[in-house]
Amino acid sequence: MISLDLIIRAILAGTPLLIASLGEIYTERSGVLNLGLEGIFVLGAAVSFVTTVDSGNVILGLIFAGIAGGILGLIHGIVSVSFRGRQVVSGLALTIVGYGIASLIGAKYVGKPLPTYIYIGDKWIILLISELAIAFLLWYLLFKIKLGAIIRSVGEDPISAYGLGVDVVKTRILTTLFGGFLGGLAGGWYVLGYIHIWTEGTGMGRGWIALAIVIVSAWNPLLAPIFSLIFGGVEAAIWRFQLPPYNFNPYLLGATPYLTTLLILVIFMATPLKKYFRPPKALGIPFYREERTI
Amino acid sequence: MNIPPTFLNSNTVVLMRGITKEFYGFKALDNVDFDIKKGEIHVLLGENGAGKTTLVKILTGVYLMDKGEIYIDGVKRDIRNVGDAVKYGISIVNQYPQLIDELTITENISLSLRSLGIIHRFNKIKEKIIEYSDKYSFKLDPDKYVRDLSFSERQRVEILKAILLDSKVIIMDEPTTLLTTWERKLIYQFMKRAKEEGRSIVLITHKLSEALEVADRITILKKGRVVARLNAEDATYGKLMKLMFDKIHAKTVDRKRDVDSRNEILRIEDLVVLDEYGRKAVKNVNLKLYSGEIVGIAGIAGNGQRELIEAIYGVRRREAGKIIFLGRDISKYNARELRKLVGYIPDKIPEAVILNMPIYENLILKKYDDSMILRKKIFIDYKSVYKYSSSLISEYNIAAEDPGVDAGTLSGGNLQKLVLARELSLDPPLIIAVNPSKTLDHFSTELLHSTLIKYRDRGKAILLVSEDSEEVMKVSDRIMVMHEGNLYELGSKDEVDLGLIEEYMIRGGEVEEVIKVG
Amino acid sequence: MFKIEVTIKKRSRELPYSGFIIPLSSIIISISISLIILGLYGVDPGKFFKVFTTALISPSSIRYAIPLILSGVGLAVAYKANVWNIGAEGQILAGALVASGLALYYIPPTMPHEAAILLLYIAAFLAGSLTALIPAILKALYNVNEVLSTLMINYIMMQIVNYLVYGPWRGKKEYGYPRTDIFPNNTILPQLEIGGLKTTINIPTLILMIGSAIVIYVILFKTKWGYEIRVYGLSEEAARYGGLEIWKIIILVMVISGGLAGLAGAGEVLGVYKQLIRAERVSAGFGYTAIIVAWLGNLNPLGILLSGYFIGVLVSMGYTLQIFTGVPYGTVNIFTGTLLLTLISLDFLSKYSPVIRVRR
Ligand SMILES: Nc1ncnc2c1ncn2[C@@H]1O[C@H](COP(=O)(O)OP(=O)(O)OP(=O)(O)O)[C@@H](O)[C@H]1O
Ligand SMILES: [Mg+2]
Repeated sequence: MISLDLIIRAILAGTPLLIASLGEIYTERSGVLNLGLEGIFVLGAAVSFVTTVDSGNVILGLIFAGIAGGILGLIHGIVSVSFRGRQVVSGLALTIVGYGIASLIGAKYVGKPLPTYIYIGDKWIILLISELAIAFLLWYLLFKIKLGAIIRSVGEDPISAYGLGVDVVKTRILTTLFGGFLGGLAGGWYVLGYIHIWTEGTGMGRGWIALAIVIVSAWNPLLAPIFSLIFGGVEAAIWRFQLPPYNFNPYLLGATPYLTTLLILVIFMATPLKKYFRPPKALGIPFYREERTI
Repeated sequence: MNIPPTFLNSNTVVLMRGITKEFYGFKALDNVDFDIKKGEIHVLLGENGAGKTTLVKILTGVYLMDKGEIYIDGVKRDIRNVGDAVKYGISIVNQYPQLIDELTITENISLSLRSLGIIHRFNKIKEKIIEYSDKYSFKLDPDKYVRDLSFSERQRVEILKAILLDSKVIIMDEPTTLLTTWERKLIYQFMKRAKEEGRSIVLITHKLSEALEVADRITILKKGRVVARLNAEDATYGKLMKLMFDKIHAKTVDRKRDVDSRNEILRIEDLVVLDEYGRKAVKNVNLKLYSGEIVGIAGIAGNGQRELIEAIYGVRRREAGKIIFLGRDISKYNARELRKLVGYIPDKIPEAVILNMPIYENLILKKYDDSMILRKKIFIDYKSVYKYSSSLISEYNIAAEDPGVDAGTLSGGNLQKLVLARELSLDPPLIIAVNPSKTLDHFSTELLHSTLIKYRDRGKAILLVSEDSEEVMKVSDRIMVMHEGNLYELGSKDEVDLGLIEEYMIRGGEVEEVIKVG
Repeated sequence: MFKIEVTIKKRSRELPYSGFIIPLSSIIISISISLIILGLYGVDPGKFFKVFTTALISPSSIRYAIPLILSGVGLAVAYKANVWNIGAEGQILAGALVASGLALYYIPPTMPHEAAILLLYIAAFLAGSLTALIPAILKALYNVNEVLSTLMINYIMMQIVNYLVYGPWRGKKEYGYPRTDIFPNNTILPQLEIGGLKTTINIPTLILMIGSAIVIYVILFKTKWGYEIRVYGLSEEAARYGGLEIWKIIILVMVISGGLAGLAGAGEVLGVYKQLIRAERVSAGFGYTAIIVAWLGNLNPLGILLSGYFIGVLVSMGYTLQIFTGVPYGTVNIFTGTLLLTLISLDFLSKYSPVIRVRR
C-alpha cells in the first residue's frame, strides 16, 4: 500500500505546505501570528496561475505569487505591528481579502490550461534534498547567528529587546513580509508544481494546515519537513483511496486532512510531548515602547 | 554650534534641559534639568514615583520626551531610540534587568552591540565576554540561558553589556536594592573602577547611606521636579531626608503581640513544588504560621519562594506534601473561597490588577459574587459598587480622578494601594505579601509596614516574602530563609541578626555546617 | 529641510464617541478602496452605488442580516473572553444539519407546528453548542489552540454535510441535485410578507435574533457571568489569581457562541431554503462574515444589530453585483475584509494619540 509512488506524491503535496510553514515559523518567532497565511496561499495560487497563463513563464509566476503574498504580509505587519490591531482579526481579514482578490483576478481565467508548469518527475529526490537544505539553512540562521537572536528576542520579550537596542517594529514587519512572501510562493508552487490547474477556491484550507504544522513543529524549521511530509502523505493517501479498488467516499476522505490536523494537535498538546511546545512568549502581543513594565 | 547658556563646564558630558514627560496626562517629569560630568558618580534621589526612572529612560532612548533638549559634549542631539543613546555612549543597567530569558548571555549582549553585523556568529564576542567577566570577577558563563541566572547575575550581564559598549555614561537604576552584601561590594568596586577609567556613573538609589558614601554630586527629584542639586560634601542624612519627603516619616507602630491566643492558621508539611521547567523548586518544606504573627521569609529571587506562595495561594500544583489552612487541606477549598480567605499582595501588578478595566471593576475582583453586591443573585449592582469604590479610594488615599478611569492610568504606588485596599477590605485571616516595598520609597514603606503590623495586631497572620533582608528583619516576628528550595527557620526576631540572614540567603544549609564545626 | 515626525502616546481614556466615529470612517475608507479595486476591473462606480442603495432597503439584506447577527452576537461573547472561536461556520452547519435530519426523518407530520419548531430550535442550539464544546474542552483541558481547532471542525462539518446531501440524504424528488427533499410543512418557519409579497425573512428567527442580542447585552454588562467573561478576556493572569474558574468561562462562552450559530443554521434551512443543500451554499461563509460583524459592532450586541444589518446589505449587494456586472460574488470579500482591516487599524486612534512634530 505504501508504494514509492505514494511517497513521491507525499513529497510533492508536502512541498507547498513546507514552504508556507517555514515562512510562518519566522513570522511567529518574531511574535506575529499571521492567520492571513490562508488567504496569502490562495492568492498566491491565483496570481501564479494568471501570470503563467499570460506570460508562459513559471518563474515569473512564482515571483509574482511571492510578491502578492509579500504585499499581504506587509499589510498584516503594518496593521498589527504599527497599528497594534489584534493579530487574529487582522489575519482573518486578510484571508478574506486574499480570497476576494483571488476570485476577482482569476474569474476570467477559469478553465484555461497552463501553458507550462514545473515538472518534477523523477527529480523528486533533488526536490527533497533541497527542501531539507533550505530547512537546515533557515534553522541555522534562526539559532546560530545574530539575525536569529534578533528575531527570537522580539518574539520572546519585545520590551527588553527594545531596551537592548533592537528595532522591534522593523524586525516584526520584515519577518511578516518574509512569511507572506514564502506563503505566496507556496501557493504558486501548489498550482505550478503540484496540481497544475486552477479554479476558484484552489488552495483553500492549505494555509490553515501550514499554520498547524508550525505549532506541531514547535516553531523549529528542522521539524517542519517531517510534518509537511505527513500532511502531504495524508493528501496523497486521499487521492489513492478514491480510486479503485478502494473507492472511498470523496467527501468523507476530504475531511481527513482536517481531522488529522486536529488529532495531531490534540496528541501533542494532551501528552507529555507538550513540554516541547513552548510558543514564543510574546506571540500575538502588540508592542508599545512606553508600556509600563511593573 | 548651539551651546546653551547654562553649559558652564567643559567637563559636562550630558546636559538635559527642560525635560517634560506626561503619561496619560499625568506629568511624570516637569521641566527637569540634569547634567552629568566626566568621571563623576552622580546620585539621583527621590521618593517613589518621583520620575527618576522616567528621566533616565528618556536619556537612553526608551521613552520619548514631550519637551526638552539634550546636549552631549556640548552638541544638541536627538535621542530617538536606544540605538541613538548607544551611539553617544550612554547605557543603562535597569532597575529590573531587561534581558531575554530564552536567549543566552552571549546572544543577549550581542543584540546591543551595533558593531556586530547580523550574520555574526558569536565566536569573537564570546571570547570578549569571558575576558571582561574575569577582569571584573563577574563569574558569568556566556553560554548560559538568562532564564537560569539569578537576579544579581542578570544585573552583571547588563553591566558587562555597558562595558562592552565602552559607554562613557553608565546609568544604574537601583542596582543594589536586591543584592546581598557580597554582591553589593562587587557593584561598588565596579563603580570605582569605572570612575577611574573616566566614565560617569548615574546612580539611582533609595538608600541614603549609600548615596552619601559614593556620590560626588546629588540631584533630588520630587514629583517630577528637581528640588535640589548639591555636592556630596554639603549633604547630610538629615538634610537629604528633609529634601526628599514632605512629612517626617511615621514611627514604626509598637508591637504588642497577643501571644496567648495563638491559633494555627497555616501548616505546611513536606511540600514539594515544581517550576515551569519541571525542576524541584520547593523541596520538602515545613512551615507553621499562627494568628497574630508575621513570618518573614527572606531569600534571593528564584530560590523557590514564588513557587511556594503560588502553591499556598492555590495557583500552582503541589507535587507532594500537605498544605493545611484553617484546619483544612487547601485542596478542600474551592478557588474562590480560598482567594477570599487569603489576601495576596504580589510584586507583579498584572497578577492583581486588570490594567484595562476601570478602578471600580478592579476593586470588586474578589467581591463580585458576594450577595451584598448582587441583586437577584446574578445582577451586579454597579451603583453601589461605584459608591463602595469611591469610599475605598478615599480611605486608602488612592490618587485617582474617579473610580471610572482605567486602573492602568494609575501610578505604580497607587496601583499598589489599590491592591492593598481590595485585599484588606476582605478582612482575610492570612495575608501573603511579596516584596511589598520593592518599589516603594522610605515613607511609603514605613506606612505599608505599619499597616501590616496593625493588621497582625488584630490577630491575623501575615506571610512576608522578601528579597530585602532588612525588611524581613524589621517587621517579622519569626524569620526564615529560603535557599535553593529549602526553607530554614532561623528563629525569632531577637535571636537573629542581619548578617546571619544574609549568610543563609547566599549559602543556605552550608552555613549550618560551618556553625556546627566552629 | 523640514522633517515631519509622528510618534504615538497612549490615551488615558478612549477617544470620545470612538464607538461611532471609527466604524463609520472605516466604512467610508473601505468603500473607497474597494471602488478603486473594482474600478481597475472596469466596474462603473455609478452602477456600484445604485446596487448599493437598492440593497440598503432590500428585504434580502435583512434576510442575510439574521444569520450574521445571531452568529455575530455569539462570537462577541467568545471574543469578549478572548476566546477565538472561528468556528461559527461549522456551528451554523451543525445546527442546519441536525434541524434538517430531524425535520426530514424524525418529526412526525402530525406534530403541532409550534412544538415542532421549538423542538428544532432547541436541537439546533444544542448541535451548535456541542460542536463548539469540542474545541472548548480541548482548550480548557489541554490548551489546544482554539483558532485552529474550530477552523478544522468547520472543514470537517462541511464535508459531512456534503457527504449527506450527495449521498444518503439526497432527495428523491430532486432530480439528482445534491440536496434533500423539501421539509414537511409543520417544520417550516413562517416568512414575513410585505405588501402581499413573501420575503425570505423568517419571523421566528428574526425575533430570536433581536431577543438574543438584548439578553446577551445584559449578560455581558450587567451580570456576574459577564464580569467574569470580561475579566478573563482582559487578563488571564488576573482571572487565575482572582480564582475565577477559567475552564467554566471557556465552556460557557463557547456553548453560547456555538448555540446561537446553531440557531442561525436552523433558521437558514427551515426558514429560507426549506431543505438541506450543499454546505458551501447553506452557510456561504456567513460564519466568517459574522466575525466581521462582531468586530464592526465593537463586540457590543446592540452595535452588532447595526453592523449585522450593514454587512447584510453588502452580502445582498454582492449577489446583485454578480448578476448585473459579472463580477464574481467572492469580490464582496475584498470589501468586507478591507472594512475589517481599516476598522482595527483606525481603532488604534481610539487608544493612542499621534503626536506630529515638524522639526528642522
Ligand atoms: N510606562 C509608563 N506608563 C505609565 N505611567 C508610567 C510609566 N512609567 C512611569 N510611569 C509613572 O510615572 C511616574 C514616575 O515613575 P518612575 O518610574 O520614573 O518613578 P521612579 O522615581 O523611578 O520611582 P521608583 O523609585 O519607584 O523606581 C510614576 O507615577 C509612574 O507610575
Ligand atoms: Mg524607578
